[in-house]
Amino acid sequence: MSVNAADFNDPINLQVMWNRLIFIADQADIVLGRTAFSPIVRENHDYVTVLLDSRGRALAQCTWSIPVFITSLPVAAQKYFLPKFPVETLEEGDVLATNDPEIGTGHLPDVTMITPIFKNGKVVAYAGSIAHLPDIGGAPLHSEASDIFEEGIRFPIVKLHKAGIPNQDVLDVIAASVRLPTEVMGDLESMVAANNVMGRELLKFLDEYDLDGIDGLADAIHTRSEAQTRRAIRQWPNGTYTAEVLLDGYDTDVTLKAAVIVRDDSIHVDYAGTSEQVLHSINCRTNYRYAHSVYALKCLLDPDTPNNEGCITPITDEAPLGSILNPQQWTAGNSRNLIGHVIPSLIFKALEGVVPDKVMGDSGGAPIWAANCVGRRDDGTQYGSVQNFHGGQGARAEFDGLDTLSFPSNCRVTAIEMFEITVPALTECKELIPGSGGAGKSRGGLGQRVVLRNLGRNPMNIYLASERVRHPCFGVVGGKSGSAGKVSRNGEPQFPKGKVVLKTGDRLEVETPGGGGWGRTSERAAASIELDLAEGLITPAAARQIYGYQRSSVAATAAE
Amino acid sequence: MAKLAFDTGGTFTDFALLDDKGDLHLHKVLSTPANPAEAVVRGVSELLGQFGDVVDLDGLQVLGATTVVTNAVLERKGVKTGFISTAGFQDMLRIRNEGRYDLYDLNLKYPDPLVTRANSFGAVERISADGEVITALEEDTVREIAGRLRKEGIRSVAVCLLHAYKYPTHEQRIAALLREENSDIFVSLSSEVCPEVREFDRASTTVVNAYTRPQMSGHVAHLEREFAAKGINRQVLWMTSSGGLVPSSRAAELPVRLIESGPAAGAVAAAEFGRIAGEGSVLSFDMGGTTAKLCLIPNGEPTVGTDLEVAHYHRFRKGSGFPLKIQSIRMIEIGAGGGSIAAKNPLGLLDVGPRSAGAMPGPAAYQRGGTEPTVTDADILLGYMGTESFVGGSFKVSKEAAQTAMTKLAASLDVSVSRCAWGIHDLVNESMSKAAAVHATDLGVDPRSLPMVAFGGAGPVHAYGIARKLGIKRIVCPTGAGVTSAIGLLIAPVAVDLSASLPMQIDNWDFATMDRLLGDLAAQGAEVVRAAGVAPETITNTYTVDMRHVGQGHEITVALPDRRLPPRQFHEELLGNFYKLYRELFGRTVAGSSVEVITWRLRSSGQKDQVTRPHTRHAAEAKKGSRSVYFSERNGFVETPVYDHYKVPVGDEIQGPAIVEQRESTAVVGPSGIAHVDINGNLVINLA
Repeated sequence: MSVNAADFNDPINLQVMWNRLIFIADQADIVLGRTAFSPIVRENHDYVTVLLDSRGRALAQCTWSIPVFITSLPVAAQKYFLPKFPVETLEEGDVLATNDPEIGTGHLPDVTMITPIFKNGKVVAYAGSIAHLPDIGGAPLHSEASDIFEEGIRFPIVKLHKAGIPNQDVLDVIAASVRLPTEVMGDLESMVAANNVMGRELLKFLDEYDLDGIDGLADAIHTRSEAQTRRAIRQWPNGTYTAEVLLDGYDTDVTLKAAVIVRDDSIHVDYAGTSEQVLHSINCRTNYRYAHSVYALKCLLDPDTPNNEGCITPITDEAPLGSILNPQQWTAGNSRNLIGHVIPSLIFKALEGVVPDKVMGDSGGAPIWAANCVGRRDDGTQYGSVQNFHGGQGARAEFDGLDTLSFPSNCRVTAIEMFEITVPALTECKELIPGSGGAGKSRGGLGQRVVLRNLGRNPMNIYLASERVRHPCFGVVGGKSGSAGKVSRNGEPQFPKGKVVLKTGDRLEVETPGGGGWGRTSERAAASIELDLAEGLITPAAARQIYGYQRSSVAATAAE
Repeated sequence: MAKLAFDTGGTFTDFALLDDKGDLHLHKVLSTPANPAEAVVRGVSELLGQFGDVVDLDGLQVLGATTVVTNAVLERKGVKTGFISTAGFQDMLRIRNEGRYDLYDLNLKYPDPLVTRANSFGAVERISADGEVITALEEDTVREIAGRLRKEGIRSVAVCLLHAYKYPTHEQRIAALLREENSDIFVSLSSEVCPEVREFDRASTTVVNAYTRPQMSGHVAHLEREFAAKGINRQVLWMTSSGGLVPSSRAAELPVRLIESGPAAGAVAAAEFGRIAGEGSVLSFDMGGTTAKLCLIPNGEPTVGTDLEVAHYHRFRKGSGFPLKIQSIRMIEIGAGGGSIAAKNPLGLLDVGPRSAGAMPGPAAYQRGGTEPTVTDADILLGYMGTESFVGGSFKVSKEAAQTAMTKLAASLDVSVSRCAWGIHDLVNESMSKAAAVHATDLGVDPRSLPMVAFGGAGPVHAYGIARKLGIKRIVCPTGAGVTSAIGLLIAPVAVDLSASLPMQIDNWDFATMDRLLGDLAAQGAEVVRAAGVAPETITNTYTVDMRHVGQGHEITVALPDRRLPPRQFHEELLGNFYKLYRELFGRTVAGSSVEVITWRLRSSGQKDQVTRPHTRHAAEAKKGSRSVYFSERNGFVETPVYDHYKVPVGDEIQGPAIVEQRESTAVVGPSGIAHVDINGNLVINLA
């Protein structure tokens, strides 16, 4: 029905068709998100739906996604799925899936699923999805583990459905290995349904435009996007830009080092000098690391173009084998985000001299803090639910950082009222920490203080994920650090990771870190300092000591 | 009994009068944003001056839709407001839900909360999720807060305590204490404004209510005074976001529920136009200068949802505004209208919007300083919109100016001017049809099965193209497209929506608690509906519940079965309703998982009304001339006849391509369309 439908280089045709492909991924996103049981899937949007072309290259991705998924599906498809199951081994109705962290996103709860889309008996594309299952057996999320085998079951790439028939043997093994079989099976079904929606809608699209396949369209999308990314890279001077950051690690400090090498129209990030892998669940595999490298650079280079293979091709990265950013296969990695989430801040720091107006201070949301509360209610029934807490966003050149914001992930927190219905924990307070944002021309966002109290008669096990307790979030372009995070139990210092037991009436107190500042404190506008004082976001003492602000009170200012 | 409806909009205040004889009269005056009541009073005076002899003032019912509430929020012109929460949670408005609405935009922002942190206070108290008082309310802290509010000159305050949706006693006590201390203060309680679980959404809703309440109260009082002086003594009825009418007293107390007043009236009107055109379910499409609204109306009734958001920092980005948990007609707002600007994006592709030329400078063709081509410019160049008859010829537009602007863009894209203009028109149609498809599939409906009711200045211009994309077979363009919302007010029933959250699992059902809760809702509903003059025996109560599988986070709304059914049958039917909708929406069901209700809802309503406007046959020739118009099916421009909608005889067939003009709008009938005017004056286009 459209004029010159086959001309993919027509600027109007391409836009219309491209938008439609994204829309197809978004339709699948709705199906997956609304039917999922996993709280992490639905509250944190810890899943993705992606359309891949016949070569497994990313074509369109659901609009709402998180960084880990920027690159994971196409890499998994090209490196593992298609080699293991070439087209001649596939038939209509097949569904391929695995939860191998090396193939997928670096931890066992995430299942990667790929469904071939057939037209006239030929595979024309693949529908892909990844979702975080509510349980995968093994130790609870954020508990301690020293290798991957403690963290749950692992199934290699298998046909979860064969020609439309569920592979019951595999499904039975999975169901028998997890704590929440109904929910896990339900979520796997949601993924199958989401992939089917993409297949159905893509076929409708192909019919409408009278196309036999999408590879030509894919080439056009990839070419334009890649050219745009390369054009943006060429604006940056060639050079090697370095930064390093010190993190708390599990029990000993971890150093992350990055060298961002800009060469003409491509970028390579080298993490040589980064600490070695550890015997805890914070090892961060290649896929996860690469996704965060690409994410940080995309934010700076081309935040507007919808993500696809073309945006990522000009960017590569590497880390030494055996380092915490490229660990050996047997290592544990359930809480790999505690390390991986800091990568974007590290890259911003490295580039503060190259694009000072675009980089952002280090964020207190990197990483997400989480309390996985597990125990039995007074009536003996089991509960288990995760609550997340974020620190303040890093400051931007133009704006102060936002308070309590998820970055680089994107995770809405569970309403306290909903959490308290599920878990017998009383949230005693959830409030901003004045003065916690790093000072600068722009100020970092504020962290928060939260106190949880066990209301139940039985002990509550909390598996805690945290970072930046010993090493706060740094500023950029001369901005100051935010305040560090803090964890205590009944007012006494508490080891900030792993299992914490709360007896009846015990309290866990957490303070998330403030975001780092941007630019020199001497350049902060007096009006901004006065507003911060009026709103109680900084203390009068800090105004004097850090910013050298002279006037004694806001009232005095107002009176002038 | 006569009815007089007014709809206060940004530029015009529209009026529709249904006189004692059943005749409909339409009117329009310029709005008076500084005091919207002035335009209302003027228009009412003018209409009654003209038609006073056919209107009995004793029986006259005045109805209103208004942008007063929306504008107060968008323009941040509400009053200085205070916020009180449970101590330790007073930062709720800044903390929000900690998510981001855009993954890659490091410079994202949210609108500043309507209450400053300095004016947010914590009251010492705490009630647990199951109603246990963990900390008693310390009344002294409330009195102290009252003192600070007074000192700050704060007249309106929002109160949102944890779990107050279910246990409101502390909120109620705080209201009493605040009124004791400051007798003239407006207190909005979350347990009254929005008794639903999830504290941030509830607080956000309550704050918007508090922020706009003094203004809306003043507006309502002003109008009642003016109307009383004219001898109109019945309470004005106001359109809520959910498409029902409520009396002035409730509108003044709960203004947040009027936030989508005008668009809701438009949807009600579209439903009626669809019905009188003989259609059951329709897709309503209202496209104006800056936005378009799409609303699916199954079986003549718009669906009502509870996920509304206003004051987006980033226009049209979901998640960047203030969430409002109020019942509102489910519609999709798309950031594209006649004024949307077309430009080349960094990838060298054509983009339309989200930037808009608005009313000033407006499209390039208006010659008021706009130099970038807009959708309207494209529509003019394609011949869809005439330059002579624009808004009845009262408004001069320049095709040359549109051409100049378009030529620049076409050159930068290396395409012809007509290709560029068609591209803009088509791209807009594409985004509208995608939005319509997602909206329809969200509600489990196949959009192809629906006729489309198109109105608003640009609605009938784009309807044909959108219908073709969606596979829609029939388009209805109503008469009076310029005052559609006002007409909607004449039809809408008195209706009040109430809700209460109280999670209850099917496996652990408590009929006594359910009955008590539903009884409470019904009593509240009856009170409001009766106050609007509805006879008790004509009140209809419709109960729905928001349900999900235990463990899920998203609820779907289904009908609650008849309470008189035996328990087992009641549950079977309820589960049946749930599974049926679940399967329609998501294509599957989940075996072996328990199901629960989260929120209970009631709509108490009176009767719906009817308005018909017989088509008067004119002797004059309907065809006014012809012009060159672009059609993609014909791969170019073809000479196309132009008709006057109001002069086309009922039933006469017009074979497309054709243009049919109204005073404020133009309908495009493409080559595969056949149009006629029906007995009620609607232009109906059937697509081959």
